[in-house]
Amino acid sequence: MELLPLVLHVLNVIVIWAVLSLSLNFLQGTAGLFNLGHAAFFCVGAYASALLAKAGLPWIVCLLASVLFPALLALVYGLPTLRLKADYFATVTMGIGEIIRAVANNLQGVTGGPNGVPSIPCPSLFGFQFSRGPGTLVLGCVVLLLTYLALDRWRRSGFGRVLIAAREDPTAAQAMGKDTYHFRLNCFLLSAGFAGIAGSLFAYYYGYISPGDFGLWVAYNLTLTLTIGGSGNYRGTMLAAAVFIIMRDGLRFLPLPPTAQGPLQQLLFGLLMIVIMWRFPQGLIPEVPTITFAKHSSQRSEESWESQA
Amino acid sequence: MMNRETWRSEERLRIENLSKHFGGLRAVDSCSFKILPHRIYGLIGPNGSGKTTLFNTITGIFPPTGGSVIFNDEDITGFPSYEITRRGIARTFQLVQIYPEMTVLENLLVGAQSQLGESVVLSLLRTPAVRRETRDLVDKAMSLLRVTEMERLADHRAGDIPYGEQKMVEIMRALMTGPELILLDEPTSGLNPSLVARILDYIRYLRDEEGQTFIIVEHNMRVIMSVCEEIIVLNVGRKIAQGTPEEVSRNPEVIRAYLGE
Repeated sequence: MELLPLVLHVLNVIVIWAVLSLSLNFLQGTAGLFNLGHAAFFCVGAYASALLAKAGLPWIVCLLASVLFPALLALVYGLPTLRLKADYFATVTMGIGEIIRAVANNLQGVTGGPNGVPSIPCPSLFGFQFSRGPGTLVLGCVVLLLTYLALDRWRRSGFGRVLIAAREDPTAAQAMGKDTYHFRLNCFLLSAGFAGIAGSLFAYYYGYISPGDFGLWVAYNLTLTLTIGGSGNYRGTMLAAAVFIIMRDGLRFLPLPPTAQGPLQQLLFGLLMIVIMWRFPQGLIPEVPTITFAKHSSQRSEESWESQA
Repeated sequence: MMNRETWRSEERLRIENLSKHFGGLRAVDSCSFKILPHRIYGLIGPNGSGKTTLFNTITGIFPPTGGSVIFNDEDITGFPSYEITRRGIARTFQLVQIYPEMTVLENLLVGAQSQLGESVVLSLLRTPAVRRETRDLVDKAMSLLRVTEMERLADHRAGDIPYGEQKMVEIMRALMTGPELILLDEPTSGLNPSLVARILDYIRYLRDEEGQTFIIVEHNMRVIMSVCEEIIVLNVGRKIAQGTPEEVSRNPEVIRAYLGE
């Protein structure tokens, strides 16, 4: 196989995986809400874009639908479950993840059932057609950058600090006048929306989706990625997404017999986990403070210097 | 500017027949008392007398079984704890409950009420008003840290600093909520005498300079007697005495509760 298509493929998948991992890190790393059914939002986002794109709707409408439908799903089951303690919440999410996949598998009239949705058209904007490969990569990079910037702003704001406080000690966060339920619900909706965007990118890049793409393995691999990168650190997540995808998809292109690849992959992931736990227990890049006095005061002195000048 | 005190009634907090029962256990049983502003109150009683439960019931961590809590002439009985904090009652916890993974400065910033930066939209846009608010809050937090000589700890993880400083952080975080009444649950337990003195000085400073009102749960009688103007004594969930330290320490029922028959 030629090198360029391989590199393009790996980069595309890295970008999609990075957006999905970031959306989960916001919820799980920053807000401390374990979501074992994050694949549900990814799945709904992917199907929304795939089905609407096949119906001939423009890319931007499909993308919007991929944000709204997962957010709606998050609202429906977040409203009752976010009042639960974090560990009960995690259990519920796992169930939801499987329910959504089962629905995709069995609602044949809409989703095509186990056969999935084939031949999804390429995205286009103002008459410009994004090709599968280079075009989707450019699009994906823009989306990834915006996702990172948005999530990072939220994390570094008062909003993010309340999420972290509620993760650290929910009772003490409430005693500081914070309606933690309200903050967590907002975080959950945003996280679902971004996971849906990742689903949209996924559907457009592959051009074919099926329920098998959204199994429990997604939750396992996301947890692996967050653990490698550093829970609560978004740069770490992007780095880990690259490491994970290169190990998973890059390996396939080595001249190895197919029977050896699966076990080798598992072996490498296992080793990687051990090394991370041993040398980097907080991940490659640990969580950093949302604000520091040192940096804040230096920015201020610059500002005052500018105003004098 | 009109002083808010002028049109308010004298009392900061009024508890009327407040009860909290857990099944058959009457942890707090029909307690009534009044708290006047700018004073330091002590809340004492033997182990299991319901002091912390009373705090938890006043601050909305548990809804009361009966009775009412009136704060600044408003009935706040049964309000969730965040609503009560917004109205001006702040608290600390018996075992320090700071946010360990957050820095000292971040811990204090969380205390500030109704921040623009807590809005999803405004925090994303990071408008000039949000930036100004952050600057002002950092200034406020840093000035608290300056008074307590803890400026150098601002960027340290709160979980890493010494226990005494963690207790100070908890008090300052409560102050950041802009309270009119602060409930301190054992603020000096587990601290060495010099730290105890430092915390007591700080409490007196806040009362004298900022007109704060405190209710303090304490087991250390020397602390209670030295800092409180008035003491409320609980035993098995009931109020058995209220008065100045001298009155309370002479009260035969109090002596019986502590020493037995």
